[in-house]
Amino acid sequence: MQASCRAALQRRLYSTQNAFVPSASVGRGRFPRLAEQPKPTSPSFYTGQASYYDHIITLETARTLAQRALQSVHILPLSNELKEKLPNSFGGSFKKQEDFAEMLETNVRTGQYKRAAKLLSELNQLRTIAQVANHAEVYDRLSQVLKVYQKDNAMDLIAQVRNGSTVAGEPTKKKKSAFDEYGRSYACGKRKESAARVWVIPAQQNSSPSSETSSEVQTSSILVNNLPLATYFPVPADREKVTRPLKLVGVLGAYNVFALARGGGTSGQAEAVAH
Amino acid sequence: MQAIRTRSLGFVGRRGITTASEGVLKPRARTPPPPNEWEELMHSRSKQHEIVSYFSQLGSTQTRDNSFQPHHPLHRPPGPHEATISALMAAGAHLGHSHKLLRPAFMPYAYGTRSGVTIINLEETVPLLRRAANVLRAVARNGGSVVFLGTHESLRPAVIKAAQRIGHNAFHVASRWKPGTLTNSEQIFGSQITPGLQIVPDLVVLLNPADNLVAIRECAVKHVPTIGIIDSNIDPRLVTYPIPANDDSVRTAELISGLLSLAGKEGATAYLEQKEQSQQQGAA
Repeated sequence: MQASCRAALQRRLYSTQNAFVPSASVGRGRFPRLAEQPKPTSPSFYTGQASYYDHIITLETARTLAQRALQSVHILPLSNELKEKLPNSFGGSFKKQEDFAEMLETNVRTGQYKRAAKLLSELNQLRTIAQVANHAEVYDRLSQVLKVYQKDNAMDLIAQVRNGSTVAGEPTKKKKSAFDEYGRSYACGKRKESAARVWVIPAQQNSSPSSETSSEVQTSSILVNNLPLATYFPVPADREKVTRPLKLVGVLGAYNVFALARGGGTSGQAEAVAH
Repeated sequence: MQAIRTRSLGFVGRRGITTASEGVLKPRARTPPPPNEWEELMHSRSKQHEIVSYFSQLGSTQTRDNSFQPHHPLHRPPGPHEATISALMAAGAHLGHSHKLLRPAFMPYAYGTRSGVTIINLEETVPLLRRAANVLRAVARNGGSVVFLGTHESLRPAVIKAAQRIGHNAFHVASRWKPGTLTNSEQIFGSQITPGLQIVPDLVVLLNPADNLVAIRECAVKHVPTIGIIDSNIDPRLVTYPIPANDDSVRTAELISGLLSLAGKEGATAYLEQKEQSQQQGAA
Protein backbone atom coordinates (compact mmCIF):
# COMPACT_ATOMS: atom_id res chain seq x y z
CA MET A 1 0.00 0.00 0.00
CA GLN A 2 2.78 2.41 0.97
CA ALA A 3 4.82 1.39 -2.05
CA SER A 4 1.94 2.08 -4.44
CA CYS A 5 1.34 5.51 -2.84
CA ARG A 6 5.00 6.34 -3.19
CA ALA A 7 4.93 5.23 -6.83
CA ALA A 8 1.82 7.37 -7.51
CA LEU A 9 3.49 10.44 -5.96
CA GLN A 10 6.61 9.91 -7.99
CA ARG A 11 4.56 9.75 -11.18
CA ARG A 12 4.03 13.07 -12.96
CA LEU A 13 0.48 14.31 -12.31
CA TYR A 14 0.54 17.52 -14.38
CA SER A 15 0.26 17.55 -18.18
CA THR A 16 3.17 19.79 -19.21
CA GLN A 17 6.81 18.97 -18.66
CA ASN A 18 8.08 22.57 -18.62
CA ALA A 19 6.51 25.00 -16.18
CA PHE A 20 4.44 27.72 -17.85
CA VAL A 21 5.92 31.20 -17.47
CA PRO A 22 3.66 34.04 -18.67
CA SER A 23 5.63 36.25 -21.06
CA ALA A 24 4.57 39.45 -19.29
CA SER A 25 6.38 38.40 -16.13
CA VAL A 26 9.66 37.88 -17.95
CA GLY A 27 11.81 40.89 -18.73
CA ARG A 28 12.94 41.69 -22.27
CA GLY A 29 16.00 39.73 -23.25
CA ARG A 30 15.60 37.30 -20.37
CA PHE A 31 12.98 35.13 -22.10
CA PRO A 32 14.38 31.61 -22.10
CA ARG A 33 15.30 31.10 -25.74
CA LEU A 34 14.42 27.64 -26.95
CA ALA A 35 17.40 25.55 -27.93
CA GLU A 36 17.79 26.06 -31.66
CA GLN A 37 16.69 22.90 -33.33
CA PRO A 38 18.04 22.10 -36.75
CA LYS A 39 15.45 22.54 -39.50
CA PRO A 40 15.14 20.56 -42.74
CA THR A 41 17.51 21.70 -45.50
CA SER A 42 15.45 21.23 -48.68
CA PRO A 43 12.75 23.87 -49.37
CA SER A 44 10.54 21.07 -50.75
CA PHE A 45 10.77 19.03 -47.54
CA TYR A 46 7.10 19.30 -46.61
CA THR A 47 5.93 17.91 -49.97
CA GLY A 48 7.12 14.49 -48.80
CA GLN A 49 9.14 13.98 -52.00
CA ALA A 50 11.84 16.56 -51.56
CA SER A 51 14.39 15.13 -53.99
CA TYR A 52 11.86 14.82 -56.84
CA TYR A 53 10.53 18.37 -56.52
CA ASP A 54 14.02 19.81 -56.09
CA HIS A 55 15.04 18.19 -59.38
CA ILE A 56 11.90 19.46 -61.12
CA ILE A 57 12.57 23.00 -59.89
CA THR A 58 16.20 22.79 -61.07
CA LEU A 59 15.07 21.70 -64.53
CA GLU A 60 12.37 24.36 -64.78
CA THR A 61 14.79 27.10 -63.71
CA ALA A 62 17.35 25.87 -66.23
CA ARG A 63 14.71 25.93 -68.96
CA THR A 64 13.63 29.50 -68.10
CA LEU A 65 17.20 30.80 -68.02
CA ALA A 66 18.18 29.03 -71.23
CA GLN A 67 15.10 30.38 -73.04
CA ARG A 68 15.85 33.90 -71.82
CA ALA A 69 19.49 33.69 -72.91
CA LEU A 70 18.61 32.32 -76.35
CA GLN A 71 15.90 34.97 -76.82
CA SER A 72 18.41 37.70 -76.07
CA VAL A 73 20.63 36.46 -78.94
CA HIS A 74 17.55 36.34 -81.16
CA ILE A 75 17.67 32.66 -82.06
CA LEU A 76 14.40 32.00 -80.24
CA PRO A 77 11.56 31.80 -81.28
CA LEU A 78 12.55 29.39 -84.07
CA SER A 79 10.86 29.53 -87.44
CA ASN A 80 9.08 26.35 -88.57
CA GLU A 81 11.48 25.67 -91.44
CA LEU A 82 14.51 25.84 -89.21
CA LYS A 83 12.90 23.63 -86.56
CA GLU A 84 12.99 20.73 -89.02
CA LYS A 85 16.64 21.39 -89.85
CA LEU A 86 17.89 21.02 -86.28
CA PRO A 87 20.52 18.32 -85.90
CA ASN A 88 19.92 15.12 -83.94
CA SER A 89 19.61 15.81 -80.23
CA PHE A 90 19.95 12.16 -79.05
CA GLY A 91 16.79 12.23 -76.94
CA GLY A 92 16.97 8.54 -76.14
CA SER A 93 20.04 8.88 -73.96
CA PHE A 94 18.15 9.82 -70.77
CA LYS A 95 17.43 7.53 -67.85
CA LYS A 96 14.25 5.49 -67.80
CA GLN A 97 11.78 5.52 -64.91
CA GLU A 98 13.48 2.81 -62.84
CA ASP A 99 16.94 4.35 -62.97
CA PHE A 100 15.50 7.82 -62.38
CA ALA A 101 13.69 6.61 -59.25
CA GLU A 102 16.84 4.87 -58.06
CA MET A 103 18.82 8.08 -58.50
CA LEU A 104 16.23 10.05 -56.51
CA GLU A 105 15.90 7.34 -53.84
CA THR A 106 12.11 7.79 -53.77
CA ASN A 107 9.15 6.15 -55.42
CA VAL A 108 8.47 8.04 -58.68
CA ARG A 109 5.03 7.60 -60.21
CA THR A 110 4.63 7.34 -63.98
CA GLY A 111 2.99 10.75 -64.26
CA GLN A 112 5.81 12.28 -62.28
CA TYR A 113 8.43 10.61 -64.48
CA LYS A 114 6.66 11.81 -67.64
CA ARG A 115 6.76 15.37 -66.33
CA ALA A 116 10.49 15.07 -65.73
CA ALA A 117 11.05 13.39 -69.11
CA LYS A 118 9.19 16.19 -70.90
CA LEU A 119 11.35 18.81 -69.20
CA LEU A 120 14.49 16.87 -70.11
CA SER A 121 13.50 16.67 -73.77
CA GLU A 122 12.77 20.42 -73.83
CA LEU A 123 16.16 21.15 -72.30
CA ASN A 124 17.79 18.80 -74.77
CA GLN A 125 16.22 20.66 -77.66
CA LEU A 126 17.33 24.00 -76.18
CA ARG A 127 20.85 22.64 -75.97
CA THR A 128 20.75 21.73 -79.67
CA ILE A 129 19.52 25.24 -80.47
CA ALA A 130 22.38 26.68 -78.40
CA GLN A 131 24.73 24.48 -80.39
CA VAL A 132 23.57 25.82 -83.76
CA ALA A 133 23.54 29.38 -82.41
CA ASN A 134 27.11 28.89 -81.19
CA HIS A 135 26.19 29.99 -77.68
CA ALA A 136 28.89 28.20 -75.69
CA GLU A 137 27.76 29.33 -72.23
CA VAL A 138 24.19 28.06 -72.57
CA TYR A 139 25.41 24.85 -74.21
CA ASP A 140 27.88 24.12 -71.41
CA ARG A 141 25.45 24.97 -68.62
CA LEU A 142 22.72 22.81 -70.13
CA SER A 143 25.17 19.95 -70.66
CA GLN A 144 26.12 20.19 -66.99
CA VAL A 145 22.48 20.07 -65.92
CA LEU A 146 21.54 17.23 -68.28
CA LYS A 147 24.59 15.07 -67.54
CA VAL A 148 23.09 13.92 -64.24
CA TYR A 149 20.02 12.50 -65.97
CA GLN A 150 21.72 10.64 -68.78
CA LYS A 151 22.02 6.87 -68.93
CA ASP A 152 25.31 5.41 -67.76
CA ASN A 153 26.13 4.23 -71.26
CA ALA A 154 24.78 7.39 -72.92
CA MET A 155 28.08 8.35 -74.55
CA ASP A 156 28.44 4.85 -76.02
CA LEU A 157 24.92 4.98 -77.44
CA ILE A 158 25.57 8.37 -78.98
CA ALA A 159 28.86 7.15 -80.45
CA GLN A 160 27.07 4.13 -81.94
CA VAL A 161 24.48 6.34 -83.61
CA ARG A 162 27.19 8.63 -84.95
CA ASN A 163 29.12 5.64 -86.39
CA GLY A 164 25.95 4.38 -88.02
CA SER A 165 25.98 0.99 -86.30
CA THR A 166 22.61 1.80 -84.71
CA VAL A 167 19.91 3.80 -86.44
CA ALA A 168 18.62 6.50 -84.13
CA GLY A 169 14.97 6.17 -83.28
CA GLU A 170 14.67 2.58 -84.54
CA PRO A 171 12.05 0.73 -82.53
CA THR A 172 13.27 -2.45 -80.84
CA LYS A 173 10.21 -4.52 -81.83
CA LYS A 174 9.66 -4.53 -85.55
CA LYS A 175 6.09 -4.77 -86.75
CA LYS A 176 5.58 -7.75 -89.08
CA SER A 177 3.65 -6.05 -91.84
CA ALA A 178 5.78 -7.15 -94.76
CA PHE A 179 4.96 -10.00 -97.12
CA ASP A 180 6.64 -13.32 -96.34
CA GLU A 181 8.36 -15.74 -98.76
CA TYR A 182 5.03 -17.00 -100.12
CA GLY A 183 3.73 -13.49 -100.69
CA ARG A 184 1.35 -13.60 -97.71
CA SER A 185 0.73 -10.86 -95.18
CA TYR A 186 -0.64 -11.98 -91.82
CA ALA A 187 -2.44 -10.01 -89.12
CA CYS A 188 -4.85 -10.51 -86.22
CA GLY A 189 -7.99 -8.58 -85.42
CA LYS A 190 -10.29 -8.53 -82.41
CA ARG A 191 -13.75 -7.16 -81.73
CA LYS A 192 -15.93 -7.94 -78.69
CA GLU A 193 -15.45 -11.68 -78.04
CA SER A 194 -14.35 -12.44 -81.62
CA ALA A 195 -10.83 -12.92 -82.90
CA ALA A 196 -9.79 -13.28 -86.52
CA ARG A 197 -6.58 -14.37 -88.19
CA VAL A 198 -6.29 -12.95 -91.66
CA TRP A 199 -3.92 -13.73 -94.52
CA VAL A 200 -3.77 -11.30 -97.42
CA ILE A 201 -2.19 -12.37 -100.71
CA PRO A 202 -1.87 -10.22 -103.85
CA ALA A 203 -4.22 -11.67 -106.47
CA GLN A 204 -2.64 -12.86 -109.74
CA GLN A 205 -4.18 -11.50 -112.93
CA ASN A 206 -5.85 -14.12 -115.10
CA SER A 207 -3.83 -14.37 -118.27
CA SER A 208 -5.55 -17.51 -119.74
CA PRO A 209 -5.62 -17.48 -123.56
CA SER A 210 -9.25 -18.78 -123.58
CA SER A 211 -10.70 -15.49 -122.49
CA GLU A 212 -10.46 -13.27 -125.54
CA THR A 213 -12.00 -10.25 -123.98
CA SER A 214 -9.79 -9.52 -120.97
CA SER A 215 -11.93 -8.13 -118.19
CA GLU A 216 -10.68 -4.82 -116.91
CA VAL A 217 -12.14 -5.36 -113.46
CA GLN A 218 -9.79 -7.56 -111.45
CA THR A 219 -11.59 -10.02 -109.17
CA SER A 220 -10.34 -11.70 -106.07
CA SER A 221 -11.84 -14.09 -103.55
CA ILE A 222 -12.47 -13.58 -99.87
CA LEU A 223 -12.79 -16.74 -97.79
CA VAL A 224 -13.83 -16.78 -94.15
CA ASN A 225 -13.52 -20.14 -92.34
CA ASN A 226 -13.25 -21.82 -95.77
CA LEU A 227 -16.58 -20.39 -96.92
CA PRO A 228 -17.11 -17.58 -99.44
CA LEU A 229 -17.91 -14.18 -97.99
CA ALA A 230 -21.52 -14.20 -99.17
CA THR A 231 -22.18 -17.62 -97.60
CA TYR A 232 -20.53 -16.94 -94.23
CA PHE A 233 -22.00 -13.46 -93.76
CA PRO A 234 -25.64 -13.55 -94.95
CA VAL A 235 -26.26 -10.02 -93.72
CA PRO A 236 -25.00 -7.49 -96.33
CA ALA A 237 -23.94 -5.06 -93.60
CA ASP A 238 -21.42 -7.56 -92.25
CA ARG A 239 -20.00 -8.12 -95.75
CA GLU A 240 -19.64 -4.35 -96.12
CA LYS A 241 -17.70 -4.21 -92.89
CA VAL A 242 -15.21 -6.76 -94.16
CA THR A 243 -14.65 -5.10 -97.56
CA ARG A 244 -14.59 -1.51 -96.28
CA PRO A 245 -10.84 -1.36 -95.53
CA LEU A 246 -10.01 -2.62 -99.03
CA LYS A 247 -12.42 -0.14 -100.63
CA LEU A 248 -10.96 2.80 -98.71
CA VAL A 249 -7.48 2.04 -99.97
CA GLY A 250 -8.84 1.24 -103.44
CA VAL A 251 -7.46 -2.30 -103.72
CA LEU A 252 -10.71 -4.25 -103.56
CA GLY A 253 -9.89 -6.75 -106.29
CA ALA A 254 -6.14 -6.74 -105.84
CA TYR A 255 -5.83 -9.03 -102.84
CA ASN A 256 -7.13 -12.48 -101.96
CA VAL A 257 -8.19 -12.65 -98.34
CA PHE A 258 -8.27 -15.82 -96.26
CA ALA A 259 -9.59 -15.45 -92.73
CA LEU A 260 -10.15 -17.75 -89.77
CA ALA A 261 -12.63 -16.26 -87.32
CA ARG A 262 -13.47 -17.55 -83.86
CA GLY A 263 -15.66 -16.56 -80.96
CA GLY A 264 -18.51 -14.09 -80.59
CA GLY A 265 -21.28 -13.56 -83.12
CA THR A 266 -21.50 -12.73 -86.82
CA SER A 267 -21.13 -8.95 -86.63
CA GLY A 268 -18.31 -9.25 -84.10
CA GLN A 269 -16.46 -11.66 -86.35
CA ALA A 270 -17.02 -9.36 -89.33
CA GLU A 271 -15.49 -6.43 -87.48
CA ALA A 272 -12.64 -8.62 -86.27
CA VAL A 273 -11.82 -9.62 -89.84
CA ALA A 274 -11.99 -5.98 -90.92
CA HIS A 275 -9.69 -5.01 -88.05
CA MET B 1 8.99 60.77 -89.52
CA GLN B 2 6.58 58.66 -87.55
CA ALA B 3 8.06 57.06 -84.50
CA ILE B 4 7.88 53.28 -84.56
CA ARG B 5 5.96 52.03 -81.56
CA THR B 6 7.64 49.25 -79.64
CA ARG B 7 4.59 47.03 -79.37
CA SER B 8 3.56 46.92 -83.02
CA LEU B 9 6.77 45.27 -84.13
CA GLY B 10 6.82 42.93 -81.17
CA PHE B 11 10.57 43.00 -80.71
CA VAL B 12 11.48 44.26 -77.27
CA GLY B 13 14.89 43.11 -76.21
CA ARG B 14 15.72 42.02 -72.75
CA ARG B 15 18.52 44.49 -72.58
CA GLY B 16 15.90 47.24 -72.69
CA ILE B 17 15.73 50.45 -74.54
CA THR B 18 18.77 52.64 -75.00
CA THR B 19 18.44 56.00 -73.29
CA ALA B 20 18.55 59.35 -75.00
CA SER B 21 22.10 59.97 -73.83
CA GLU B 22 23.49 56.93 -75.68
CA GLY B 23 21.04 57.45 -78.50
CA VAL B 24 22.78 58.13 -81.77
CA LEU B 25 23.35 55.02 -83.83
CA LYS B 26 26.90 54.84 -85.00
CA PRO B 27 27.37 53.81 -88.65
CA ARG B 28 28.18 50.10 -88.86
CA ALA B 29 31.13 48.77 -90.75
CA ARG B 30 29.91 46.81 -93.77
CA THR B 31 30.39 43.12 -92.92
CA PRO B 32 30.19 40.34 -95.51
CA PRO B 33 26.88 38.35 -95.38
CA PRO B 34 27.09 35.43 -92.92
CA PRO B 35 27.09 31.99 -94.59
CA ASN B 36 25.11 30.04 -91.95
CA GLU B 37 21.28 30.28 -92.11
CA TRP B 38 21.13 30.28 -88.32
CA GLU B 39 23.49 33.20 -88.17
CA GLU B 40 21.42 34.89 -90.90
CA LEU B 41 18.30 34.61 -88.79
CA MET B 42 20.04 35.97 -85.69
CA HIS B 43 21.67 38.75 -87.68
CA SER B 44 18.44 39.97 -89.31
CA ARG B 45 16.58 39.88 -86.02
CA SER B 46 19.29 41.77 -84.16
CA LYS B 47 19.28 44.44 -86.87
CA GLN B 48 15.52 44.87 -86.48
CA HIS B 49 15.96 45.01 -82.73
CA GLU B 50 18.55 47.77 -83.05
CA ILE B 51 16.26 49.85 -85.23
CA VAL B 52 13.36 49.41 -82.83
CA SER B 53 15.38 50.24 -79.74
CA TYR B 54 16.83 53.33 -81.44
CA PHE B 55 13.46 54.72 -82.44
CA SER B 56 11.80 53.79 -79.16
CA GLN B 57 13.51 56.76 -77.57
CA LEU B 58 11.51 59.04 -79.81
CA GLY B 59 8.05 57.79 -79.00
CA SER B 60 6.02 57.58 -75.84
CA THR B 61 7.73 57.82 -72.47
CA GLN B 62 5.69 54.83 -71.36
CA THR B 63 8.05 51.90 -71.86
CA ARG B 64 7.95 48.21 -71.02
CA ASP B 65 9.91 48.86 -67.85
CA ASN B 66 7.64 51.50 -66.40
CA SER B 67 4.28 49.94 -67.32
CA PHE B 68 2.57 46.97 -65.74
CA GLN B 69 3.52 43.54 -67.09
CA PRO B 70 1.82 40.25 -66.12
CA HIS B 71 4.99 38.93 -64.45
CA HIS B 72 5.33 41.94 -62.12
CA PRO B 73 3.11 40.68 -59.25
CA LEU B 74 5.33 37.60 -59.05
CA HIS B 75 8.76 39.14 -59.59
CA ARG B 76 8.24 42.70 -58.34
CA PRO B 77 5.81 42.49 -55.41
CA PRO B 78 5.12 45.56 -53.28
CA GLY B 79 6.85 45.62 -49.92
CA PRO B 80 5.04 45.51 -46.58
CA HIS B 81 5.12 49.32 -46.42
CA GLU B 82 3.57 49.58 -49.91
CA ALA B 83 0.43 47.60 -49.07
CA THR B 84 -2.18 50.11 -50.24
CA ILE B 85 -5.88 49.81 -50.99
CA SER B 86 -5.26 50.77 -54.61
CA ALA B 87 -2.63 48.04 -55.06
CA LEU B 88 -5.02 45.44 -53.63
CA MET B 89 -7.89 46.71 -55.72
CA ALA B 90 -5.80 46.60 -58.87
CA ALA B 91 -5.13 42.93 -58.11
CA GLY B 92 -8.84 42.29 -57.64
CA ALA B 93 -8.52 41.47 -53.93
CA HIS B 94 -11.82 43.14 -53.07
CA LEU B 95 -14.00 40.73 -55.08
CA GLY B 96 -15.59 38.13 -52.87
CA HIS B 97 -18.00 35.37 -53.73
CA SER B 98 -21.76 35.51 -54.29
CA HIS B 99 -23.67 37.48 -51.67
CA LYS B 100 -25.85 34.41 -51.08
CA LEU B 101 -22.75 32.50 -49.94
CA LEU B 102 -21.62 35.17 -47.46
CA ARG B 103 -20.49 33.51 -44.25
CA PRO B 104 -22.03 35.45 -41.31
CA ALA B 105 -18.70 35.35 -39.44
CA PHE B 106 -17.10 37.18 -42.40
CA MET B 107 -19.49 40.10 -42.16
CA PRO B 108 -17.14 42.42 -40.22
CA TYR B 109 -14.79 42.32 -43.24
CA ALA B 110 -17.46 42.84 -45.91
CA TYR B 111 -18.01 46.31 -47.37
CA GLY B 112 -21.24 45.53 -49.17
CA THR B 113 -22.69 43.92 -52.24
CA ARG B 114 -22.33 44.85 -55.91
CA SER B 115 -23.60 42.86 -58.90
CA GLY B 116 -24.55 39.99 -56.59
CA VAL B 117 -20.97 39.75 -55.31
CA THR B 118 -19.72 40.55 -51.80
CA ILE B 119 -17.16 43.34 -51.84
CA ILE B 120 -14.43 42.89 -49.25
CA ASN B 121 -13.57 45.97 -47.20
CA LEU B 122 -9.94 46.66 -48.05
CA GLU B 123 -9.70 49.14 -45.18
CA GLU B 124 -9.89 46.06 -42.96
CA THR B 125 -7.58 44.02 -45.17
CA VAL B 126 -4.63 46.40 -45.16
CA PRO B 127 -3.99 46.43 -41.37
CA LEU B 128 -4.54 42.66 -41.17
CA LEU B 129 -2.10 42.15 -44.03
CA ARG B 130 0.51 44.29 -42.29
CA ARG B 131 -0.09 42.40 -39.06
CA ALA B 132 0.50 39.10 -40.85
CA ALA B 133 3.68 40.54 -42.37
CA ASN B 134 4.87 41.56 -38.90
CA VAL B 135 4.20 38.06 -37.58
CA LEU B 136 6.15 36.49 -40.41
CA ARG B 137 9.02 38.94 -39.98
CA ALA B 138 9.18 38.20 -36.25
CA VAL B 139 9.12 34.43 -36.78
CA ALA B 140 11.95 34.67 -39.31
CA ARG B 141 13.83 37.12 -37.05
CA ASN B 142 13.82 34.51 -34.29
CA GLY B 143 15.03 31.69 -36.53
CA GLY B 144 11.66 30.04 -37.03
CA SER B 145 10.56 28.01 -40.06
CA VAL B 146 7.77 29.07 -42.42
CA VAL B 147 5.84 26.89 -44.86
CA PHE B 148 4.06 28.46 -47.84
CA LEU B 149 1.15 26.29 -48.86
CA GLY B 150 -0.60 26.79 -52.23
CA THR B 151 -1.94 23.60 -53.69
CA HIS B 152 -3.36 24.87 -56.97
CA GLU B 153 -1.21 24.68 -60.11
CA SER B 154 -1.66 28.43 -60.72
CA LEU B 155 -0.30 29.22 -57.25
CA ARG B 156 2.83 27.09 -57.75
CA PRO B 157 5.17 29.84 -59.00
CA ALA B 158 4.09 32.23 -56.21
CA VAL B 159 4.65 29.68 -53.45
CA ILE B 160 8.04 28.51 -54.72
CA LYS B 161 9.22 32.07 -55.31
CA ALA B 162 8.11 33.17 -51.80
CA ALA B 163 10.11 30.38 -50.15
CA GLN B 164 13.14 31.13 -52.33
CA ARG B 165 12.95 34.84 -51.52
CA ILE B 166 13.18 34.25 -47.79
CA GLY B 167 15.91 31.70 -48.43
CA HIS B 168 16.60 30.55 -44.91
CA ASN B 169 14.22 28.15 -43.09
CA ALA B 170 11.45 28.71 -45.66
CA PHE B 171 9.60 25.87 -47.34
CA HIS B 172 6.93 25.42 -49.96
CA VAL B 173 4.23 22.91 -50.73
CA ALA B 174 3.03 23.53 -54.27
CA SER B 175 1.45 20.15 -54.88
CA ARG B 176 -0.74 18.09 -52.62
CA TRP B 177 -0.39 18.40 -48.83
CA LYS B 178 0.02 14.80 -47.68
CA PRO B 179 -2.34 14.11 -44.77
CA GLY B 180 -0.22 13.25 -41.76
CA THR B 181 2.72 15.47 -42.70
CA LEU B 182 2.76 16.85 -39.16
CA THR B 183 0.84 14.20 -37.23
CA ASN B 184 2.32 11.09 -38.89
CA SER B 185 5.69 12.42 -39.93
CA GLU B 186 7.63 9.22 -39.22
CA GLN B 187 5.68 7.42 -41.92
CA ILE B 188 5.61 10.29 -44.42
CA PHE B 189 9.28 11.22 -44.19
CA GLY B 190 10.81 7.98 -42.96
CA SER B 191 14.58 8.08 -43.30
CA GLN B 192 14.67 11.82 -44.01
CA ILE B 193 14.13 12.53 -40.29
CA THR B 194 17.45 12.84 -38.51
CA PRO B 195 17.38 12.74 -34.68
CA GLY B 196 16.69 16.20 -33.26
CA LEU B 197 15.29 17.58 -36.55
CA GLN B 198 12.38 19.99 -36.10
CA ILE B 199 9.58 18.70 -38.32
CA VAL B 200 6.72 20.86 -37.10
CA PRO B 201 7.11 24.36 -38.62
CA ASP B 202 6.75 27.59 -36.68
CA LEU B 203 4.30 29.23 -39.12
CA VAL B 204 2.20 28.14 -42.08
CA VAL B 205 0.96 30.56 -44.77
CA LEU B 206 -2.03 29.25 -46.74
CA LEU B 207 -2.90 30.79 -50.10
CA ASN B 208 -6.01 28.61 -50.51
CA PRO B 209 -7.14 27.56 -47.03
CA ALA B 210 -10.55 26.42 -48.29
CA ASP B 211 -8.89 23.52 -50.14
CA ASN B 212 -6.51 22.66 -47.30
CA LEU B 213 -8.69 21.98 -44.31
CA VAL B 214 -6.62 18.88 -43.53
CA ALA B 215 -3.49 21.00 -43.26
CA ILE B 216 -5.30 23.54 -41.05
CA ARG B 217 -6.48 20.79 -38.72
CA GLU B 218 -2.97 19.36 -38.45
CA CYS B 219 -1.61 22.82 -37.66
CA ALA B 220 -4.25 23.20 -34.95
CA VAL B 221 -3.37 19.83 -33.42
CA LYS B 222 0.33 20.70 -33.41
CA HIS B 223 -0.23 24.30 -32.23
CA VAL B 224 1.18 25.91 -35.36
CA PRO B 225 -0.07 29.48 -36.04
CA THR B 226 -1.49 29.98 -39.52
CA ILE B 227 -1.86 32.93 -41.88
CA GLY B 228 -4.46 32.54 -44.63
CA ILE B 229 -6.25 34.38 -47.44
CA ILE B 230 -9.90 34.30 -46.36
CA ASP B 231 -12.65 34.85 -48.91
CA SER B 232 -16.23 35.89 -48.15
CA ASN B 233 -17.56 32.33 -48.02
CA ILE B 234 -15.05 31.18 -45.39
CA ASP B 235 -15.03 31.60 -41.62
CA PRO B 236 -12.12 33.90 -40.70
CA ARG B 237 -11.62 32.00 -37.45
CA LEU B 238 -10.23 29.06 -39.47
CA VAL B 239 -6.73 30.57 -39.35
CA THR B 240 -4.88 32.48 -36.66
CA TYR B 241 -4.18 35.59 -38.75
CA PRO B 242 -6.82 35.92 -41.49
CA ILE B 243 -6.25 38.18 -44.50
CA PRO B 244 -9.68 38.91 -45.99
CA ALA B 245 -9.13 38.96 -49.76
CA ASN B 246 -10.07 37.21 -52.98
CA ASP B 247 -8.73 33.64 -52.93
CA ASP B 248 -9.66 33.00 -56.58
CA SER B 249 -7.38 35.67 -57.97
CA VAL B 250 -3.86 34.53 -58.82
CA ARG B 251 -2.65 38.13 -58.91
CA THR B 252 -3.91 38.72 -55.36
CA ALA B 253 -2.24 35.55 -54.12
CA GLU B 254 1.03 36.58 -55.79
CA LEU B 255 0.79 40.06 -54.26
CA ILE B 256 0.10 38.76 -50.76
CA SER B 257 2.68 35.96 -50.86
CA GLY B 258 5.24 38.36 -52.35
CA LEU B 259 4.57 40.98 -49.69
CA LEU B 260 4.78 38.44 -46.87
CA SER B 261 7.96 36.91 -48.28
CA LEU B 262 9.62 40.34 -48.45
CA ALA B 263 8.81 40.83 -44.76
CA GLY B 264 10.14 37.35 -44.05
CA LYS B 265 13.31 38.12 -45.98
CA GLU B 266 13.92 41.18 -43.77
CA GLY B 267 13.55 39.01 -40.69
CA ALA B 268 15.73 36.21 -42.00
CA THR B 269 18.50 38.63 -43.01
CA ALA B 270 18.47 40.21 -39.54
CA TYR B 271 18.59 36.76 -37.93
CA LEU B 272 21.54 35.60 -40.01
CA GLU B 273 23.44 38.82 -39.32
CA GLN B 274 22.90 38.47 -35.61
CA LYS B 275 23.96 34.81 -35.75
CA GLU B 276 27.16 35.76 -37.56
CA GLN B 277 27.91 38.51 -35.04
CA SER B 278 27.38 36.20 -32.08
CA GLN B 279 29.62 33.58 -33.72
CA GLN B 280 32.34 36.18 -34.29
CA GLN B 281 32.02 37.34 -30.68
CA GLY B 282 32.16 33.73 -29.55
CA ALA B 283 35.28 33.15 -31.66
CA ALA B 284 36.87 36.37 -30.33
